[in-house]
Amino acid sequence: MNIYKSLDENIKYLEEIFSDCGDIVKRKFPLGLNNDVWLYVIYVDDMTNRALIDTAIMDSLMMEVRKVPPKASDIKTGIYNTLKNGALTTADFKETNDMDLAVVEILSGNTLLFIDGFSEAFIVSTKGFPKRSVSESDTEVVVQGSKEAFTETIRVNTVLIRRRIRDKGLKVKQLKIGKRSKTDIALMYIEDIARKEIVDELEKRLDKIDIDAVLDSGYIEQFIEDDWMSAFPQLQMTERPDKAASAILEGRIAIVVDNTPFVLIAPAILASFYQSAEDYYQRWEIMSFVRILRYIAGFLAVSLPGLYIATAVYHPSMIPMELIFKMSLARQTVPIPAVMEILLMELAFETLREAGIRLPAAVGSTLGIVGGIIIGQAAVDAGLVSPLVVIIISMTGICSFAIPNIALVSGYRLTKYLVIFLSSLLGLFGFWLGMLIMLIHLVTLKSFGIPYLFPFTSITEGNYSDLKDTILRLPIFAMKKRPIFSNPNQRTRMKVKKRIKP
Amino acid sequence: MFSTNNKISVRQLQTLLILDIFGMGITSLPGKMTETAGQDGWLALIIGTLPACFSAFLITRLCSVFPEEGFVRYSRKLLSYPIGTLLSLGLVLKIIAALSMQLRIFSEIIKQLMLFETPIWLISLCMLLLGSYAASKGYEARGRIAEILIFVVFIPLIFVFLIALTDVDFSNLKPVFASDKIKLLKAAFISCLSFSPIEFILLAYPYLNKDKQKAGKRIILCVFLSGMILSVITALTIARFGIFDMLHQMWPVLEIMDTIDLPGSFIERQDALIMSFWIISIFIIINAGMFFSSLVLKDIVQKGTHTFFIVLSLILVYIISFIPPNISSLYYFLDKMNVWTGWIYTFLIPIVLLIATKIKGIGVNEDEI
Repeated sequence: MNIYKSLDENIKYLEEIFSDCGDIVKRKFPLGLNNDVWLYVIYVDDMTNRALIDTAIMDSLMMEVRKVPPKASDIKTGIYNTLKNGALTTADFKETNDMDLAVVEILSGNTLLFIDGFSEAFIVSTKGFPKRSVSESDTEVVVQGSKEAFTETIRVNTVLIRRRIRDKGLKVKQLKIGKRSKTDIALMYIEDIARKEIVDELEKRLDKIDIDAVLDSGYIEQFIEDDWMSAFPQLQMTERPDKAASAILEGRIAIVVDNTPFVLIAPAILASFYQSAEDYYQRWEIMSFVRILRYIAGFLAVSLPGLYIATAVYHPSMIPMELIFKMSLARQTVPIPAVMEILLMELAFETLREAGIRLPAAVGSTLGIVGGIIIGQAAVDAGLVSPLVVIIISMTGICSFAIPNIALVSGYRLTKYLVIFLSSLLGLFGFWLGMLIMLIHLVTLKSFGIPYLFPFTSITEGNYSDLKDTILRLPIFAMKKRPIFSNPNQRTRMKVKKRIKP
Repeated sequence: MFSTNNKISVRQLQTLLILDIFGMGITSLPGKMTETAGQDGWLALIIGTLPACFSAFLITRLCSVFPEEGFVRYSRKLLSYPIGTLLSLGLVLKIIAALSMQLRIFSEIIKQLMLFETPIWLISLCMLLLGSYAASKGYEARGRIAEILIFVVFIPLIFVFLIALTDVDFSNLKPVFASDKIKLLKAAFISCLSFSPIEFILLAYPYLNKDKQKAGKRIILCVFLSGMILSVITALTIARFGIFDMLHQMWPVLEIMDTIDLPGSFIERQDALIMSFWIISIFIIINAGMFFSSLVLKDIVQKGTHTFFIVLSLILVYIISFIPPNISSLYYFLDKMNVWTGWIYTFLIPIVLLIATKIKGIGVNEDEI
């Protein structure tokens, strides 16, 4: 629908739309000495920068313009251009003749200026709502490296990334998703490094989303992931701008969603969930060691309880004699079968974890001590569970926290119960059944066409240098090639053949 | 962009082949070789590998004439529709029969060594369902599974044999070439037949994604490599136990894993743990069998979904696996079947089809392959 020429009709229309909206500020005011032309401003209270409106629009229109007497011809017919060229003292404004767009812009925090007699209106960018300042990351804490984390404001977030990559190729493609929420979403990628087909595919998937409101990037994730049945994440979520920037430099695409500090990164493969931002900031030997540790921890987080059940119940012959004596001694007083014991403790642990999230930080640690240590100790003393089971469950919990990504841990957490179930049914054979089911599932997963277990599988699709940043983290200067996510013509990250010798 | 088109790389095919051949032979072959050829069993395996390589050569040569067509299609094209169909059906039957036997043997061993109270039907069913689940995910997924599992299988195996090396007596292998030449050849013949996974190349070739023309040499190389691995394992097993002990053991390779002492080990007896590698290699075979039998069935009927035929062959395999009454009759069946049908699909049919291509004038460039 187009904007009316008559200001009164526009006002009538807007009044109707925004009836019962107490937060909308409207004002009609005249221009010129003889009140020749009437203007109308409209904006949402407190979603706008009031000082900017006052100086850039109200002050300049009501005061400054009067100091310059207009030419006779300008009054009425030429007033539009006069205002456009000489009156609005701000750089960021647009024109529109579309009333629907105008309404969306008002609701986004911009100020609309209507002029009597013209079917065009000015959109003055005056967004300025209350926002949280950039603070430290809570979910991805590092010892060394940037402390900054994304905030809830999309523009702040894109700036945090842009500040790290001052490349003209860095594109910020804006779109709006959500019929009612009209949430701003920005795709950030470096044009020549990102694979065009992945960008296209991503845009195609985003276009297909038909939802009324997007409140968090998690909404977007569930719509665009490849396999919704999987328990494993196929997009990476991060709160850290440096991580997003490094992903963009690898040719991946960051999806910044307004109103959430979590930025999505596509595509994501299993190996990328084991990478933490810090890995690249410290010495490569220690970080390689930590990587190995994480992979082992990942394996144990899935397998340890199942392995315990398989060996303790079905194959006690594998356990050394001294230990089996101790175990059976401890188990003598335990009235429930080993499987139930494991499940009981696992559930207790999961509940504790869930409760810990809800509690305020100060109480949380107390609960951890009370729940973990005291109840665990009491359960052992009461003879409800054997001490080894407590050790196994705590080990599993610790291992799962050693993986830097929560979403991957969730996948492992669920798979763990499958492994426990099969191990209790079929011993070590069942354990391997469970692990193989997980493996079969993982090899079939893809993230935007990239095999999930790459580079451990399908290495011939990329090049062998993709392996340099997986189980080991080789020195930065050794990673001369960009990984699989990047455009095949832009694989070279650095040209230096040899390291400069001091 | 990456495929969603169910194609595999040559590297993945190689990995699958090595795992298939290895899994097929590892439990029974060393025992069978020493039974027939005494301490020269490992030599018989080397001799047997050569015709197997030749067979791989024949098959890749045949396949390179029809790089994009499956076995069913070109056998129908070359030998008329009914004969081609018959050959394909025969191939399915052979795969299903071999699969059933392998499944039964597997379940019997698992029951004997690991799960004494679990019913056999449950063990078979679980394994078969797992193999079918993997098969239903398509060829690409199988290739990737193999790339991961080859490490899971071979790293513990190499580890075990390195430890076993500390306590072997190579004089057990002497005198070399002393056994009866006829027996040696017979053992070589048997070992050659146990390379039956080569026939999967007939079916796998159209699924290769690139470098098809270079695939021939690399496939032959990996057949040779698998033969050498089996031969080395046989030699080590003989050197460790001596032939007289070996004749009394049903699965000498599993025995070797059971009897070694892991140095400074936390684990008291590693039999159950080492069984893991074997569970995995059997899984690969069952997965391969399920995949290819359903694939050929689908090609024959040219209708229906892959999943439907997987379910069909699952039911067939499950029923057939319960026919033999006990383990020794199982081995008897398997041996007889191998001797009577093993060479048909690895030698006879590729040669016949190759001759047919010459007659029909569908040729290859001589400089290819």
